[in-house]
Amino acid sequence: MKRIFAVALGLVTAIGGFVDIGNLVTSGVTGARFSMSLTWAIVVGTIGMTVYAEMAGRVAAVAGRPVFHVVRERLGVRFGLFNLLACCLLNLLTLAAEIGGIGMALELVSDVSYLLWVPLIALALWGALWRLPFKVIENLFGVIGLSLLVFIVALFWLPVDWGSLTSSALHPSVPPTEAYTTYFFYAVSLIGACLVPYQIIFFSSGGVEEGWTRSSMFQMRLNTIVGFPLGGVLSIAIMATSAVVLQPLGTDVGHLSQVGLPVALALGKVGLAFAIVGFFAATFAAGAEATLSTGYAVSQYFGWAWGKWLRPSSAPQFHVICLITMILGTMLVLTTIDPITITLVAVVLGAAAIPLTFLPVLVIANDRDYLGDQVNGRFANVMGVVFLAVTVVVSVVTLPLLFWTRGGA
Amino acid sequence: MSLRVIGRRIVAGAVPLALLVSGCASPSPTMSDFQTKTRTTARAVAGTAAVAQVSAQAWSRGQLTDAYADTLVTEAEDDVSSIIQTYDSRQPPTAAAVALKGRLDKPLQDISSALTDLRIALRRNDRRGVAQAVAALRQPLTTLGPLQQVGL
Repeated sequence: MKRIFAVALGLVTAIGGFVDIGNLVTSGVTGARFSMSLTWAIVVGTIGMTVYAEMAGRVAAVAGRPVFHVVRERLGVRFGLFNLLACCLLNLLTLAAEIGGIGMALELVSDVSYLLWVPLIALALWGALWRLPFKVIENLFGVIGLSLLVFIVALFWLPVDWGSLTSSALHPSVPPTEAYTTYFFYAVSLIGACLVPYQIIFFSSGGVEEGWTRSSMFQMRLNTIVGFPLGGVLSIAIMATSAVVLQPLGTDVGHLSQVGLPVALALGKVGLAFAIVGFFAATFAAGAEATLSTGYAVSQYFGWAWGKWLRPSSAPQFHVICLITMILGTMLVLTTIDPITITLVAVVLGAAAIPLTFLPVLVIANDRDYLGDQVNGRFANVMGVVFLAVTVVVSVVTLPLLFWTRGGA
Repeated sequence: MSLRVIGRRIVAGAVPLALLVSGCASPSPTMSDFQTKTRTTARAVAGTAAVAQVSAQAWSRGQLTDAYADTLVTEAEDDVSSIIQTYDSRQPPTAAAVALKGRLDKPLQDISSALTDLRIALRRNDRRGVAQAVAALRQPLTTLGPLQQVGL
């Protein structure tokens, strides 16, 4: 019974933890602008994330190696350092976006500007990282994040033309009022929102923190192969509610409040409460994960002691890096840069940087010295190569699209 | 050539290029460009005001909390104000463009005023005032309809 509970908890956490501010914003924005015609981008991003998270989890469980050990070893010290800097910058942007997202969720409840909440949020995040055990951070907010399932319920309460919605998803086309470049810019942003480097780093380092072994493989695979795709379904549901309510109004989504509006129209204040709790939990968990991921990445690269299970005196560099990351992320939000803009920039740049994280994972997942009989099979390799190619293409087109479309304007 | 000089040259070339590509503060040099700007402005304002309208109606039906409705309407008001400011910064290139701008100015100002009234009424919990402000949005939103097709 205890084992079944643990398995179910892991699965629920994977679903709830998949969605962060990037998924919330990009799904809401694209649903309102392109209806369901960019569903394929969420599907591509989710499958890619599933394939590589499974590989990274397997490397962690069998070889006991987290991602940045692998990155430094396989990419070399210099290229690894470039990867580390890119990763830290992205984590910083992501953290700032998540802190902004938590603030916006609190603003929706309190009517107090999100900026006034930011220092308190930073303290709460740091307190959670300092005091709460790893398992609690991962599971508690993952489970509460399931409140976002209210978007799926809302979809069935709204007056939906299912034929049109399905057709838009299955026969994607660029709306006549939109340019092809803008369409592909948002496709890249959706893929980037699913394939987030910090999640891969957190997933594999978390596996090492939790002491995964070969016997943990079933749980790990269930989380990635079932949990992440269900998280992707949640993103599609957010896109669909936006398509049903906001697209007919001709709205360009630019605020988190607008993403939650369809839920209120379908389910009233009760539904809205679930949505806001979900926003809070998803962004809070992701903020903690982005902070820890930076500590993990830097410490693993330099070979320092790392891990939440270690007391600060045993892993001082790790804890100091987490603290510095938190301070910088907070300062970035306090510059009053729009958190939604930071989110879009973070997911797009994340899409550009993801091959740097994926390539070494793919290489080591084929290394018998580390994984023995658990190396990639033919299917995993085909999927891995295909998605690596996809991420390389995405990486190449991202910056030109960002400038060409003026950030999707 | 030292690294510092190379760095300076890269920055000297990259900054104007980035500004050019991102189109910061670019004028609208042709009538066609101005029509496009007018069309996108009309669409953006209409979409933003429509969300405020729907939000206020949902609040009246008890589907939205006071704080949530206030946030939505305040954001809409700020967004519309920002859109109008951006549009006003564009120089109409011809007499026809000046006339076109004149057609858009009135509904934009009406919408902006109605959104301010709506926010004030919401904060006062004034249901009648909210209904009046929502009603005041209808006419300018209808006027914006044809302007969303300008130049097509």
